[in-house]
Formats: sequence, structure tokens, C-alpha cells
Amino acid sequence: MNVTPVRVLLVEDSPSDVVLLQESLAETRPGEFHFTHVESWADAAQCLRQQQFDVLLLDLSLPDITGRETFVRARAEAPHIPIVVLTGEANEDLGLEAVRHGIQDYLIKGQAYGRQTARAIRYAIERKQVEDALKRTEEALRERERQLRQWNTELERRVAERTATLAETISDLEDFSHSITHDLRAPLRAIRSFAQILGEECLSCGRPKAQEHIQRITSAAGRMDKLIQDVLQYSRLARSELRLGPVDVEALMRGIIETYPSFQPPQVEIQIEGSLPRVLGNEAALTQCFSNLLGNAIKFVAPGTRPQVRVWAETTGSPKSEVRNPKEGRRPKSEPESEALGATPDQSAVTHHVSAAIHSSTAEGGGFTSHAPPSVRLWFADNGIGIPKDAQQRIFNMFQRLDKSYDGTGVGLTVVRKAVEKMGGKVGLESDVGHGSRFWLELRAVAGSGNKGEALKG
Amino acid sequence: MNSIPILYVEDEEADVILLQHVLAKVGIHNPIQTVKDGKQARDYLAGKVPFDDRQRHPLPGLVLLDLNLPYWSGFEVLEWIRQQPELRRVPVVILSSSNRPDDIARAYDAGANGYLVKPNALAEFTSLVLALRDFWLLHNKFPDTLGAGAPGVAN
Repeated sequence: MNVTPVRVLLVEDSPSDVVLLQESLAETRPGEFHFTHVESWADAAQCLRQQQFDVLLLDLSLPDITGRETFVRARAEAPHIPIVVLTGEANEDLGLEAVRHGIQDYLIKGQAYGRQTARAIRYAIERKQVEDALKRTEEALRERERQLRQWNTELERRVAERTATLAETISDLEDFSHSITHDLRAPLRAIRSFAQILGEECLSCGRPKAQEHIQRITSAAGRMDKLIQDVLQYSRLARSELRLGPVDVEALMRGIIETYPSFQPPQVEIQIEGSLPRVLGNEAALTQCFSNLLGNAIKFVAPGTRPQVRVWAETTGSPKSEVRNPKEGRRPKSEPESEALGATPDQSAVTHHVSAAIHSSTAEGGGFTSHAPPSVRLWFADNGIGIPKDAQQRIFNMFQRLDKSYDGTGVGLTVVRKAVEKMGGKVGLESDVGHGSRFWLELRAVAGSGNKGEALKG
Repeated sequence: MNSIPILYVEDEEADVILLQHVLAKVGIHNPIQTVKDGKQARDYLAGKVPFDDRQRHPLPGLVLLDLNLPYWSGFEVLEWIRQQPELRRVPVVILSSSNRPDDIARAYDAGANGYLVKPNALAEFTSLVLALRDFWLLHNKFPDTLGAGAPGVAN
């Protein structure tokens, strides 16, 4: 039935067993097996080296080798040939041990030659193939794993390399901004200083026009210098990593107001309403934000108007919720612009509609949910000239100046926005021309700090 | 007020003229010598040609040193000064437009006696010069010599 017979190497020194085995197989499966017969391990080993076999039938009681040694040596000598060992009835344990050593099967001599032996031989061949295939798969897997590890190492190396390149770029940028400080400001210093010297020398020259021109040079150079400083400050802020911690807003705000003479009465009136809670932020960045906002609030007033600024806090839900806070109503009724604001429901609705919220990318990406800790909105309301609705979005952009009759570089609010974004918050405003502006900062609240009743100073 | 000679190492001519203007304005008449780069500063202090005549180019009692200089940076000049046995005590005050912390730390590490950032407005510059006058020309006590085996400095 088989075109090519199974090539069997039979290693057996007992002539009776040889005859019995060969005959029983020839009887049940004529022509299926082709036997090569040797009687010692030495002959078997030589045969294995010289010829190809499909299976090895191996007696474990050969004259020139012990039983255990037989299958160990055979397995080593012919790693890819299926092996079936033959044991005596009293030696079945040895057969089992052989199987544990990678031998495919064992047969007990005298029991069931014939059909069962044929099947054992076939199975041994199949099993060996499967085992070898499995081994190849395992090896392939191991190879893959090795490759993966290698790729991983390579990837890590590349990441480290990129990181180093990036660090270098950042350091180059820093050098660049420092060289701007050096090289751009040096000629400015000369322009400004010498224009001032010229101005002093020209005090009594009797040419008022010349005086005025010199004054223009001086102030333009001063402005340019301020611009460079502001842009540098912004780029430092944009590059830096802000360390966040709990900040006592009230103490900080009062400290800022006390530090700057321009924030104090009688020229201006800055009033903190209620208590201000603690927020999660960076003190230096918040100082910058507060002083920029307060500075704007007192600067942009109509000529002859005494600046009045009110600061208060309200606790909102998550920074994503755009709920208008009912505490709006607690503004003192005596404030002229707040009356004007609340005059008609219409106007209030319009104000709300145009309220420009600048979303922080951090807050958006961070995915605040309704479970997020409550946030704090700090309001800065002024009695200034107000900001037209169509300009409310762009005033946070760099160099945006709406009214050139006021001093400024157009960087202050850009710094505020960047700083607030770096602290995971938002900034926005409500304003009407002629009715003042109400800027707000929304920051993360610090757990356990209420809006009221907390000892904030001292 | 003492009359120690001052050496100003500065490559920006405008800054040199500015300092001279302000010194005159506030009434400081100490001899002031200026050199334009780090190499000249070294040659001046070492008394090399063309600075070998100590009558015309006296050893300074105070050096005002810019950092951003051609040939030798201010740091290199400062480090060199501190290595010279006969110059190592000369007071050196950095006068730079850089306020970067690295530069400030490095200057003190190299042995600077002070670090001043050049102000950009005339009024601030004047106030800085007045502070320099009060500290270095009025109150400060100087060593008898600038280093071992060095000639004394005319106070």
C-alpha cells in the first residue's frame, strides 16, 4: 500500500525477537517496512552515520552498551530520527524514562507485535515530526524575541539620541534669547542713553522742537527695550516647566498691591471683596498674572477717571462647565458700571454671549470630568474704557494693542494666558465699551480650602 | 575719596564714552584707562608693550570688566588675573549686560569681587556709578599690594 516503504533500522541482538518482529510486520503490513538489521550499538551508530532511516527500533539490552546509555547515545547520535525502544516486560520503567528523554515510544518485547508495532512506528514518526516542528516554532519565537529585544534597544537608543538633540535645540534657543538680550539691547542702551545726554545738553539750546524730537528717540528706545524684555520673559515662561503647589491667593494679591505704589490709594482704589481661596498654581507665575491684570485695569481708564478695581472669587464646578455663577449678583449695587450692566436683561445676555473664554490646551487634553475638583474663578473688574466685542478674542495675542494712546507692549495678556495655561487653567473676559472690563482666571481649587471663613493672612 | 587708577575693559565704545560721561558728571576724577578686548587687558596688566610705561599706564586699583569680549572673554581674563601671583588681589567688578545666573555664578567662581548688570537707562546708570563711587572709592579698604612681590598701588 505504500509506494516508499518506511526505512527501519532495527537494533536487536536476540535472533528470535528479530524474526518475530519482522514476520509479524510483514504479515500485517506487507511491503510497508524495509528493515536494516544490526546486533550491536557500535554497528547501529555506524549505520546511522552512513544511511538515512525513517525510524530507529532500538533494543535496550544490547551486548555493548547499558540500557539507559543506549537511548541517551542514540538520541544524541540521531537527533532527528524518531526512536522506538524495545524493553523486556520487567523493564517497563526504563521505557518510560526513555520517553522522558525524548524517545518517541516504547514497546514491550513479546507483547503485541504486528499491528500494534506498526502503529507505534507510524505514531513515532508523526510525533517526532510534530515535536521537531514545535521545536522549530519555538526557536523561531525565540529568534523573534531576540530581534524584538534588539529593536527595543535600538528604539531606546534613538529616543535617547532625539532627547539629546531636543535638549540641545532648547539650549540653543536659550543661548539665542540671551544673545538677543546682549546684542539687541546694547545698541539700544547707546541710543537711549546718548539721546538722554543730548536732551540734557539741549535743555538750554532754545529749540523746543529739537527737545521734542530727542524725547521721541528716548521714549521709542525705551519702548523697544521693554518689548525685548517682555518677549524674553514670555519665551522663558513658555519654555519653563511650572511647579504647581497650593498658593494663598489672598496673601499674594494683598502683597502685590502693597508692593506697587501705583496700586495704592489715593490715585487708585483696588478692593478685594470677600476672601480669596487657595488655588493650585505657581506663585511666581500668578504674581505675574495678577500684576499684569491689575496693571491693565488701572491703566486703561478714560482720562480724568480714578481707576477702581474690584477683585473677587467664585467657586465653579469643573473648568469645563460654563455655568454662569449666580454670585454675579453680589457685586455692590453702588458700582456704576455694574448697575449699567444689570440694567436690562438683554444687555446681560449679550455680555454672557460674547464672554470670550480662552481654553487651555492642558485643561482640554487633561479631560476634566464632572468629578474633577472644583475650580476657582478669580474676577478682576475695572471701570476702564472697555474692550469692543470684536477685539475680545485677539487681545490675548502677542503685540495686540487696541488703543495706541496708552503705553504698553501688547505682551502682558499673552503672558497671562500662557501662564494660566501652564497651570491648567483658563482665562477670559466680559466687557462692553464704556462699561469697564471683567477679566477672569479659572484655576484649580486646592481641596479643603473654602471660599469663606478661612484664616488667610498671617 | 581715593584716587586709585581704574581699568575699564570694554569693547563697546558707546559704553566707554557713557561711563566717562557719567564719571565726569558725578565728579569722579580717578584716572581711567580703557582697553578693548581680553588680550589687551592681559597685556596692560602684565605691563607688555604698548602698556609697559607704568607712568602712563599705571596698575589699576580696580578693574571694571565686561564679559562679552573679543579674543579673551571676561572670564578668561579674570581667571588669568587670579593665577598671577603679583595681580591676584586686584579687585575686579564685572560690568555686563548679561543677567543669566550661569554667568553670574561663573564670575564669582572665577573670583569676581562684584557683579553689576549694565542698566539701559541713563538715570539707573548714574545711580550705579554713584554706588560704585561710594563703595570702591570712598569706603573700601584695599590691600597694600596686588599680590606677592608686586609693587604697591597708589591710593
